[in-house]
Amino acid sequence: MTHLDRLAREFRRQYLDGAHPDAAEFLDRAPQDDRQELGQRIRAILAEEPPPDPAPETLLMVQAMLRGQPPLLELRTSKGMTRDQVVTDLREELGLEPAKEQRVAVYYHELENGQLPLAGIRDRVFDAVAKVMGVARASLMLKGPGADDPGHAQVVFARAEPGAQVSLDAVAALPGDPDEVDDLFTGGPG
Amino acid sequence: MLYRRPLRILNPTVRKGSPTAPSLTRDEYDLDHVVASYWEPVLHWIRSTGRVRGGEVEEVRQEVFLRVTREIQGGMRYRLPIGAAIYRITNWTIQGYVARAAGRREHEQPVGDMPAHEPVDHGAYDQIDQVGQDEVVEALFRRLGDREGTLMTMHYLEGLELSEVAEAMGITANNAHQIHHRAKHRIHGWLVEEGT
Repeated sequence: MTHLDRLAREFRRQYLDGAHPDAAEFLDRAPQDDRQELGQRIRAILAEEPPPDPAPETLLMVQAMLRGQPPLLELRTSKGMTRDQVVTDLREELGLEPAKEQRVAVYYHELENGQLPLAGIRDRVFDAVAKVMGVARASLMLKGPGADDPGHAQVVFARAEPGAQVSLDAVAALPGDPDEVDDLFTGGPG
Repeated sequence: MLYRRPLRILNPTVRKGSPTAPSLTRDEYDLDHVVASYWEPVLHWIRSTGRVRGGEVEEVRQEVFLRVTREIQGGMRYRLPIGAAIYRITNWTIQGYVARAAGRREHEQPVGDMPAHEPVDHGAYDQIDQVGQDEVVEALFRRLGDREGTLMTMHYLEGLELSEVAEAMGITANNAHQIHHRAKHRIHGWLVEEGT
């Protein structure tokens, strides 16, 4: 059995066990020249196997989304967590000092209401939000249909990427110069 | 688990001789369960291509399901098994996303500075809306060959139950299920290649 066979087999097992394997991490574990083939094998597994039963949290977020409600807000309230609690946990999970909490709170508010462009958010933030909410990163649902419709959000503050726009009022109200918090929430991808 | 309802992919009510297949309603497609079931696999599919990263992956996933939701709520009946339709939409969405990103860079950078490994795929925009078009699906089914292609055409495009297809083709129902399974498997294989 080759290294590629082992990786594909491990992905299949984790996928079927509901262990939420990260396809990108599996690609990283393969030699550069084999990554395309491993990607094909992973997609073959996804195509061949029926999708696993969704987690209850996923279904909850989908149902919220279909009602036009922000899925992340629905998830938080279903868990009985306050926004302040989540913001504090998120700041700590991101390794930020307490003085950054207000900035994190503004961005979290935007994120929870589906107004933060996803492409600008760093991977670390997705991982941290998932951990704080107690769900798998793959299950996380951050926007609902219509979130990108014109007029849904008051934009626009453009950072590095053309798509990276944040509510002007919220960002303008932030104290101080742009810092690592801004980078975490708008400096992506990656 | 909140509840588990079976995925009812297709429930054709059209019989031989009917000119067109009816649209399925949102309930018939069990939209919430379809979206919830494929939410995670689509993320893996996108990440396995290595073509988008970080939050871009979430943007693409969002775009895929916005489209699927809008289409199913609008009464769309995909002419492919639902999983194949969603993965096909995913491939096209990735291509469109990469093309738009490259287009932005093309617009922003002087000619000659475009990365050679990421050509602008202008055709991706045109493909985006094709998943429900019969000619696209017919072409896929033609690739399957006579037996499998005929079965898939009768089942998905003409709306016959598999038992009715079996009778029309002079084969057993069990055989029809086997051919159906094999055909779906081959279509999935093509989608895997298409995503590369």
